Amino acid sequence: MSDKLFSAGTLLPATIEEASSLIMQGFFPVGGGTDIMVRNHAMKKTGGRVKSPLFSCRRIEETTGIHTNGNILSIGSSCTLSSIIESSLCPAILAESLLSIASPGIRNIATLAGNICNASPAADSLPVLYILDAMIETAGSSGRRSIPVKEFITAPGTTSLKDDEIVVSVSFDSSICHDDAFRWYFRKVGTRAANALSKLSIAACTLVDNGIYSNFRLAVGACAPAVVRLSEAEDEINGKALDKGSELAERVIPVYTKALNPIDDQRSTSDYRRNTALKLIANLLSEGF
Amino acid sequence: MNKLIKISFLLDGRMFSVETKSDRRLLDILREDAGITGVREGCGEGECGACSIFFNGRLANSCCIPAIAAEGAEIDTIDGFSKTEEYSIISQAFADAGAVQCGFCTPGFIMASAALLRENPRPTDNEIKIGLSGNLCRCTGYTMIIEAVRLASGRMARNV
Amino acid sequence: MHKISRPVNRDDSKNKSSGSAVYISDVIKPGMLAMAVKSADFQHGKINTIKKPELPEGYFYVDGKSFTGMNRASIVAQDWPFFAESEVLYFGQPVCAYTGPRIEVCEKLCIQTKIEYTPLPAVSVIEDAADFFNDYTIIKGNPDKSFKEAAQIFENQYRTGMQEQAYMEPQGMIAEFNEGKLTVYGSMQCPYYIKNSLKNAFNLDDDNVRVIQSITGGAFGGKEDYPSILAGQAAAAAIVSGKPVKIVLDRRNDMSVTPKRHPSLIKIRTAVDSEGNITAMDIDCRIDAGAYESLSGVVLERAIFISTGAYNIADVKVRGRTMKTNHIPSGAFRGFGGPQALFAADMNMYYLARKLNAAPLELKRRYLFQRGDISVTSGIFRDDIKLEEMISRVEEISDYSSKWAEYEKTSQAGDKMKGIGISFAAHGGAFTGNGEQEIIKSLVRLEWEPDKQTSAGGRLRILVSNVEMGQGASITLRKIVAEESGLPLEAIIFTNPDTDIVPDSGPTVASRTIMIVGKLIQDAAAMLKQKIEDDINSPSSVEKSYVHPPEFDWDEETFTGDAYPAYSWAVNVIEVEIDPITFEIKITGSWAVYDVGTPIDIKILEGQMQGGTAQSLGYSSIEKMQMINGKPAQVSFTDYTIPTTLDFPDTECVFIDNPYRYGPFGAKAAGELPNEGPAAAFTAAISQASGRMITEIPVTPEMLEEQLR
Ligand SMILES: Cc1cc2nc3c(=O)[nH]c(=O)nc-3n(C[C@H](O)[C@H](O)[C@H](O)COP(=O)(O)OP(=O)(O)OC[C@H]3O[C@@H](n4cnc5c(N)ncnc54)[C@H](O)[C@@H]3O)c2cc1C
Ligand code: FES
Ligand code: FES
Repeated sequence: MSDKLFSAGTLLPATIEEASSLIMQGFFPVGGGTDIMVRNHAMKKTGGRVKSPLFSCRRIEETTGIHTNGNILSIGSSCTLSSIIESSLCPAILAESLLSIASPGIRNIATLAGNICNASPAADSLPVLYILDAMIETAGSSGRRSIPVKEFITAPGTTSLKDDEIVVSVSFDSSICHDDAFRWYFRKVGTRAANALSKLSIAACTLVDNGIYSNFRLAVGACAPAVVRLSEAEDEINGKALDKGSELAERVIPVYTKALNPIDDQRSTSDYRRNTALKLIANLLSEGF
Repeated sequence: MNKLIKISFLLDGRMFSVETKSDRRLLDILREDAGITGVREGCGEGECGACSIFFNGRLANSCCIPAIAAEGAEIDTIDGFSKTEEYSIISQAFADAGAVQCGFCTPGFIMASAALLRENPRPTDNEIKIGLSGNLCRCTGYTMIIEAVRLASGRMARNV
Repeated sequence: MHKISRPVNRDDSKNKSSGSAVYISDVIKPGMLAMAVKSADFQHGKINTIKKPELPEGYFYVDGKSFTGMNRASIVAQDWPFFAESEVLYFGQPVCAYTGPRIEVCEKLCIQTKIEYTPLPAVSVIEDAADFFNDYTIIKGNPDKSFKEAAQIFENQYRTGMQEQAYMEPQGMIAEFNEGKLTVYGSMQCPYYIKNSLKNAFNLDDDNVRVIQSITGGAFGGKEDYPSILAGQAAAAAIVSGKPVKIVLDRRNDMSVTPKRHPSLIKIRTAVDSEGNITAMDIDCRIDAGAYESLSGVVLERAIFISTGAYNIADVKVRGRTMKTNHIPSGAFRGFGGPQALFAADMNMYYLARKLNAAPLELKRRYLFQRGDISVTSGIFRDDIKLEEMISRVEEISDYSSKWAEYEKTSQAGDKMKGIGISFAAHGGAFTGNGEQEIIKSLVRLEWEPDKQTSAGGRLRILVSNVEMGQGASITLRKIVAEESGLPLEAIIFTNPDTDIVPDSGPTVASRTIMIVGKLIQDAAAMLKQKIEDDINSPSSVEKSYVHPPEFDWDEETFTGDAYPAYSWAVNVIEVEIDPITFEIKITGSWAVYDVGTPIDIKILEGQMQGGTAQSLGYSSIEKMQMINGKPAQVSFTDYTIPTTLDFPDTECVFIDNPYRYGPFGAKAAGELPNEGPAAAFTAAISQASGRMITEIPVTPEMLEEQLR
């Protein structure tokens, strides 16, 4: 075999340049590995494409830690889900969605970047990141980019990450979450009570001033090839009174109905996903936050 | 291209080195290279927790960890953990509660229970269930495992 | 409570907890090879060609021609081949295999092996199946007359799904062939089934096949049949290569190729007279046997013998068939046909109660079997049946009736979706019909080994072929012998069976280990005690074989008589809440009262009941296995969701005392009982909560959404 000893240090680059160069040599970045390792294991048995060899970005300073800069909260791509959940800087709505992912042992190793790059329509962090207008900060040999999450995810399983880029961090303006008028909602309907994948999920947040909606945002996960967030519906709701919820629901449900296009698969049915998502939205609006 | 790397980590308190591929599962390194077969493979997909270890002090599924991630890490397995006082209390509680049937899941549950009790020495029943929610047991229906954690928690409190 | 019921700690928990217990996947033999099986990626077709890659040095190819005897496993019917011959009958069927030093290489060779098929029509649902392996009819009384005279006839249909055993330790086996002797080690329930299969597969005589059980990480029926296939495959590879060969299935593979619980479709017609009494039932029971008969015939027998559930119906006609489909052969799973039949029978009573405007419990209790009643097979219930006492106990702990009345109002008002259900289950202990005396012929041996160093003066060894697989046999069997012999528990030795050492006391199935084998060793212990008392310093031994109690009669041709010597009983109550928006189901309470005769160890038994109930509730709700064009769609723990700590509540269990005269210290069958009743109690609760008559499990939010939309 041509296997030659490689130093582990090489696969733990300290700079973006080194990381880029590894990607160009055919190495794949790995966060916690919970997605790659499971996929590779299955692929090896079926002869599918395996992501190998791997390198880890965790020694690249910028990918570590959770920081704030003014109103911007930035989460390093090497941060584990647990470390994010436990951080006092993490807004409750994000923590709730991350807590709904997998199990304690997986959350202790899996990263937020991995959940995003996975680009699964059922990835549970995504609806919340969509409504927080999160930006994915990337870096590669051609420089840095800051990409809105909805543009970052291009299709199930694919992202707009360039060949030599890594995700450095995820950032969003978290000031809204600290507003007294801030209300939020997250609901995951999974395959069982714990350690379950999503059949569908809904994340929503808003400001409510004197009973009036402003900054209303809502995203639906696992009900279309990508997370669904509709400005048309949100515009309809903003400026309206909370206690007119049932009327609001009547007006926006058709809009969501048109946009949801879920699949039948081994975890649920298209009808169930669509109908349940719509009912949850209607209920959220009519009950108010 | 698929070169071997030499990775080293602290395994149950001792330095351990192995030459392996970057994407080899830590589970396989532990079972095949280090001979620690008490770390079990129930699914290989992160679902069952039979392969649970402490990774830098926290509970983790070793079937999901690539070799490269283990470089420089501190890894504790049931093999080392079973020599601690903490283990004696927990395993005794498992025995007393009748929490062990076929036993395939047990080392994983003991690791998960220990991780939970370290972070939360007096968990409520619901906190116990959440703490153990990544470990599957097909034999017991969990009742007696949860009872074991309750017992262990009480006994640890008395010990200090 | 008998003093034997007092719990003792299991001594196997030490090694299991510390990880030092050795399961088959942990075993390494010098020179051992790995093995991977090429499974058919086609549902039904004639094999035209198998294009094999070139074999690297040190690798070997194995297929159906590698068997010098018959390429068929001996699992009741001898029809399931170790490897397909000219035709593939189901998706996942083993076609050939590779063995060699590295598992990755063996797996790659499988991937590179290309099989071309001529497609043949495939049958994927019971309704479409025209062929069957078994077709049995039983008649009790005069059903034709009752139907003719009926004032009303009700008809309904019940369906149950496939269920995966999901033992935590995947299946595995090691085979060695040395100087004409074949030895296999592995995770199993039935060492002598495997031994027999291997003798037939390789034309070996009794002395040249040895089967040794390794610590078994759960089985639940799933390691009754397939280990014979796996052992045959590994043995063929060991013989071809001349090296020890190990095969351990990974989880996906295990779930893709091993047998599961038979799906069922049961139609029940019920005759009711002008006073509203149920007079007769006409039951048509079809189970999906899959592509080979294997043990389906016996599963069907258990289903039809208990086809009216715990209810005494005067006139009954039952027809049962094992339908041939192009699915993985269905297999054994705790309950073995019982859960399907009891689900249909109990839900049918619920349905009749609704039709007849009666409270379900009131209708059900009018028909519960009592001592002296006649079973479906015209056998006699000879022992006391304490279901009325059990109802009082379950009412006390669950408050069933008042909750039922309350939810009846609220569910009709449509605000909260809450419901509660009660079910009754009977489980006949041991082998069906004359199996114990005609087929199994259980033989046990106890041996006394004097040892002056020990306080007891020696060790008493239990030699049986029944296995510890988690259920606690290594403790309960020893407790029986300790109690009978007066020796301390530490002096009683039970080790994993090795067919070169233990006699054939039969398979570890059908909840027979305590009731049948336990009784035999109790009797043997009484005899050996005498010998030890006579001369403690000399080795001695006693053998005992099964003798069927004379009053039980059975005709295997007509299926008439006592299908089982004794029945165990269960009453289950399940309470549920349905989320009115998402239709997610939350089980909010689970209560059960059991009659298992004398519990041999109350803690072990409670463990059995909690675990079995969780399996049954999973079967009823979250465990869905769909066959899509013959291919199982949920073959990982990600997609096939078994219960976690957070899914179900604890079951509050009560055991009533009702010793059985032929059981050890009065013990009857227990292991399968918790899997029998919960599905119907759950589905009755869901039916009340949703206001719909639910007739199919698993009940999923998707199904409720469709019905309640
Ligand atoms: C048992 C189990 C349960 C799960 N449950 C859930 C669930 O409930 N909800 C859910 O949403 N997901 C779930 N997942 C999916 C997955 O594990 C999570 O999405 C997790 O967050 C992935 O993170 P990771 O760091 O482990 O990813 P990795 O496997 O390390 O990486 C995933 C992908 O991202 C890429 N990547 C990682 N880091 C970077 C980077 N810095 N730059 C560029 N690319 C990068 C990798 O190359 C890879 O393609 C589950 C997985 C398992 C094994
Ligand atoms: S083997 Fe790692 S979680 Fe199951
Ligand atoms: S004891 Fe068998 S799986 Fe837990």
